[in-house]
Amino acid sequence: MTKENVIEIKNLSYRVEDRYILEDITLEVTPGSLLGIIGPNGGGKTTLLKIILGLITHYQGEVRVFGHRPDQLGEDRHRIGYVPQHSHIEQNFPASALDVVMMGLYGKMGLGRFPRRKDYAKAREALALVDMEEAANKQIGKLSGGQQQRVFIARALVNDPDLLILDEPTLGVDAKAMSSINDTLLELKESMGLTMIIVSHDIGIISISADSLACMNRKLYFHQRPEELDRKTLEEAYACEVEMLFHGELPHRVVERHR
Amino acid sequence: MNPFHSGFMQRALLAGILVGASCSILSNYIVLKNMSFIGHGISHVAFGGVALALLLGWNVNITTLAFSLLAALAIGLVSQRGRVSEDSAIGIFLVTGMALGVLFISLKKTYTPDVMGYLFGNILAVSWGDILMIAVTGFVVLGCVFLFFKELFYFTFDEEMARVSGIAVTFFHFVLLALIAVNVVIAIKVVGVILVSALLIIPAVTAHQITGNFRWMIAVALGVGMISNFVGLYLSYLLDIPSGSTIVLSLFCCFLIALALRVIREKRGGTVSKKKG
Repeated sequence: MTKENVIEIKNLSYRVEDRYILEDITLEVTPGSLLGIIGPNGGGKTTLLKIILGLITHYQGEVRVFGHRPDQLGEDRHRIGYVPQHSHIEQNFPASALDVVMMGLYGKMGLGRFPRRKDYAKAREALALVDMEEAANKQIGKLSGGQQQRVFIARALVNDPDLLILDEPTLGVDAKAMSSINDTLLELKESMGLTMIIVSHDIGIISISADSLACMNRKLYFHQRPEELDRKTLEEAYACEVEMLFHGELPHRVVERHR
Repeated sequence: MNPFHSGFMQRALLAGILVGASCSILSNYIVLKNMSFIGHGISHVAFGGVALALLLGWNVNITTLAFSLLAALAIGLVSQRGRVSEDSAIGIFLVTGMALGVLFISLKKTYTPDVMGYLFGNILAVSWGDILMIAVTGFVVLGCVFLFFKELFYFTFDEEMARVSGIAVTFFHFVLLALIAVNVVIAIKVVGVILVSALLIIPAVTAHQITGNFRWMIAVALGVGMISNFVGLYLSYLLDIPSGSTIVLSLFCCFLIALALRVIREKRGGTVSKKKG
């Protein structure tokens, strides 16, 4: 395997009992690129992310992140920023936006160490990157879905990561917030030189900006330039009829109509 | 009339306030992590330990502590494996612990006057040795919360993300379970097996009605726990009612007041925002 790639995955399979969740996945992510992952629900997208993050370890095949096995990343773990699907947080939890971003620093700080003024300053800077510094002291559950998502992006950015992984970053937010979050992500990718993986149901951001695209339904159906994405590939992956609406020259939205 | 002149009431007061403080601090994590039922389960398993100690003439504190820790470990392991859901596992341990308790008590042929005290609390029988144990427990809880504040905070908020950022989530899960087990043992002295979970739940739920800031929540819960124990003990002395009952009812009154304050505040807030709109 070459050292230059941020992620290299070779013949990865993962099954639960007799059922394959992922089967024979091979892909690589080059530094500074954006990999988009689309696919139907239950197609293994989040599982793939969990393997990359070291949360699932009993897979078959070879996975390297920054040249290491994901569960042996050591300090390189903090070079990854992760934005999970946010729906499972307790909306009444007594934490402010600043508290949530500070949490991003806790693992790196280590046991028995207390946050200092510079850590708080760093968390505020991360909030500023996503235009949320004004909400620093607001309770996380009192913010709108889009604002919460921005806070979670700030938490992922607070360690100055090299790799940013986002799982459905615009799920459950309105169209205006979605477009604004997408714009922010693309700006951050450029300004911070980030390598990015976005799992999304929204083909918009991926088709316009991704350098490579994985269409996943247990297997990897496509892993080339998004311009080459066609209806046949999508239908094969989704196992359903896909209606593509074109906006300019690029596929803008996919409407599923299950058979 | 000052009930706190006598030695046993001074010990009771000290024990009550220390137990209230220790359990209240811990209750914040229990409530926010939705672990309320675990405390309830462990306390009932602990009754098995109490009964076994009474049957065999062993040290009650040590036997109960061993039972509670084993119950906490078993619940933790079962929930980690995921074969049986956590609440089902707790339900099974809870009834088994109580059944063992009844079995051991029945096997003891002589009269066991202490049983009611362990079931419903007998704070007036607290010895200086008990107070030492309570103080050490309180110190351990305070130390853990202080040392691991950020790890426990993150773990409570979002377990999966805490794991991603390198926090030893499984370790902290067991730390919390062990702290619950130890607190159950000391709280049994004050309110008894049946009512222990009140001390591990109500202070934090009350504080949560009042504040949306975690640090304030800990402080308010601490105040609620200590004051309720003091008031409950005083009422217990005045009205000659078991202290477990008066302490839990005092806690419940605090909860009602906090709930009322929250409703009033929300109504006012609603009116203001309607005016603004």
